[in-house]
Amino acid sequence: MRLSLTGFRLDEAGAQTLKRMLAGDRSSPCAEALVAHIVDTGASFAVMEEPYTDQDYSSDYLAFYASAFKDHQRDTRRVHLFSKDVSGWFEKTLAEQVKDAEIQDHYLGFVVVRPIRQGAIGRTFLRFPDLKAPLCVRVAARATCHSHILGTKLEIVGAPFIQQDRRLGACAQASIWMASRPVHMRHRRTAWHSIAEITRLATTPTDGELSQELPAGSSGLNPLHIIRALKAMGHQPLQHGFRDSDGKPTATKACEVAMRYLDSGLPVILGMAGVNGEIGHAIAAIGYIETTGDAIKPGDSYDSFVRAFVIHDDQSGPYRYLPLTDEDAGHLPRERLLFKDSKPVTVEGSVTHMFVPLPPRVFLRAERADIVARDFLNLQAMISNKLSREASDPAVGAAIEAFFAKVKEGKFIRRTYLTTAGRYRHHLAKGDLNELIKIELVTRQLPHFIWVTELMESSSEQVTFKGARNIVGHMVVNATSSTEPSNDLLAAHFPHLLIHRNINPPRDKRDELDFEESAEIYPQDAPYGGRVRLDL
Amino acid sequence: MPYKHDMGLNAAFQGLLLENDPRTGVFNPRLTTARATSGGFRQFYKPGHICNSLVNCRVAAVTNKSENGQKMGLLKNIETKDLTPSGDRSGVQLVDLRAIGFTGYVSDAALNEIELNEVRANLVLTTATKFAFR
Repeated sequence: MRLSLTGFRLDEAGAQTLKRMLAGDRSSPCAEALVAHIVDTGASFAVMEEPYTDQDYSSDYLAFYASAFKDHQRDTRRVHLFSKDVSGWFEKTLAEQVKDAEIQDHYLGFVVVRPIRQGAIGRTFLRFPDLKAPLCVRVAARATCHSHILGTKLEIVGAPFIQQDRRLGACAQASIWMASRPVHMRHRRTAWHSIAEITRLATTPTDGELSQELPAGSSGLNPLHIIRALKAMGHQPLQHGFRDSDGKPTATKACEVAMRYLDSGLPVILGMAGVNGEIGHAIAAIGYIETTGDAIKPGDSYDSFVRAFVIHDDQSGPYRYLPLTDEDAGHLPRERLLFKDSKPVTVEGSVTHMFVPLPPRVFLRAERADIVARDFLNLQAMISNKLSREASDPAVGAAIEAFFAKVKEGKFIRRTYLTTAGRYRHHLAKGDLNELIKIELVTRQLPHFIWVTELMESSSEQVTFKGARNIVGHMVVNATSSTEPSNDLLAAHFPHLLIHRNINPPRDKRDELDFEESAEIYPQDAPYGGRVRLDL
Repeated sequence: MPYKHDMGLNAAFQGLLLENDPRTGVFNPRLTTARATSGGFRQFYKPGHICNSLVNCRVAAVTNKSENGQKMGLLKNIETKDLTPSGDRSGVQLVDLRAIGFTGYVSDAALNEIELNEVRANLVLTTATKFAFR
């Protein structure tokens, strides 16, 4: 069988053709949103490759379609997308094509089209959307995907998307796939899993609820099934609920809690449980939208800067925006919002559950790390008079005093995120923190995973568009700890002040001390840039 | 700053790769280290070489210092340079936090908050099977 490549312009007629390819003549919000996103990212040319053997569809085919009485096609089509007409590139010799890097500059990703009517959109890799100031998109869960056209290797960075195939799974399986695939591709700490495989893991052992539909699990998963699947896939699942047993929202806000994991570069599965017996829905959050200026709402956590989560919804399409509140919805492009009863769906109003596929060695929740960091800061503020008097330089003493005065007034916003010791040191090393303090911090022994809590004022704007916000200090908490909270904090940097805690004191002191601290006052210090993740 | 993240060694500590002390029957990392660093392995795996096996990861670790800060014996007989970054610390002042009243323990209010947070998560788990995400 020969491979065929067909190019077409993505003008109005081309976009309609692509939509029909994805949804037939039926109305499909997912296909419409997908094509709109493709056009929005600047795609003007498509190349359809067929037949294409897609690993994910092959796995689903093996699990279900191969044994069906009706014949189902085994191959898929793949549509590559470009920002300009690249048909000239195909006229070159194959050797010239491989050498010519220009095609990569125009590559915007691909969509696999499955030969099934109930969910044609297969594995899809597209770029993140872009926004103009005063809003910007921050990328959380993403991966670099390589694809090949003839003999040439192309690359795209994005968050993988897939539509649910109702014969094999529901939104829950699609969300697990969209959350776990970038983790697999980026970190290689978990194995590759198809939708069929996820369903198998979630439904083993099976139970009464799963058995109400055939095949088992195809009509949806409850939270326990999701947790079971994530664990079996090699993640350490973390579940958090945002409704009390009577269905009322808890005091802990979903946006505040979920934000810390998203800001750690982790995908978050958001559950929206139906109220009064309605059908629940699950989506995958893969980024967020923040303001480029100062804080837009009161509060002491980083969601004060955030308008929305960027989500993949297998029913509404890729790269949708989920506003945190009703007020935020008014500041976002309406065409990317989800609606229910003509009202925008929001995190505050709809999200009831959160599932995070954490690395297996992380034993401390973000909320606890944040509480420990906040508590340490407040305890330091209680002795701030004595601390400032220790400084031999009165100007340094005044700076310390001024900082803690703001702490007491609740002027700082805490941004807590998970990182590795290596990435933490890398960020510090390349940043503009005082060199002496930097050296002291990067030469300290740390566990592999740490929670970092940055401190910034609510007026801290992005220094450049999509750039860092200036911070005045930060704290480091041991993410691999799960025992005594007093042993969680490892280091703290406040203006002119550096505190290091050794949680493994010398053996001869362990009867008297759980930990020992060293505190140092530095003559030079200034605000420095906070952590910025990949800018696409 | 000793290196603690080697997965091979950590796996060994978790009992996946055991070299038991023949006298006690218990895993003895020191014994394994001694074998790794004294045998023919060093001819093949230079200091700094990273690989997954326990034996070789310990070879990678011999460039570091031992627990009490003394240079390991192997480095005593060769010329070495201290590459640890440092700066002019003449203006840096030490503060004894205990002397000014800081005990370092997490406050009772924070402990209660941590406990409440975890209890809340458990509450939701009990209602987890009443619906499904479709």
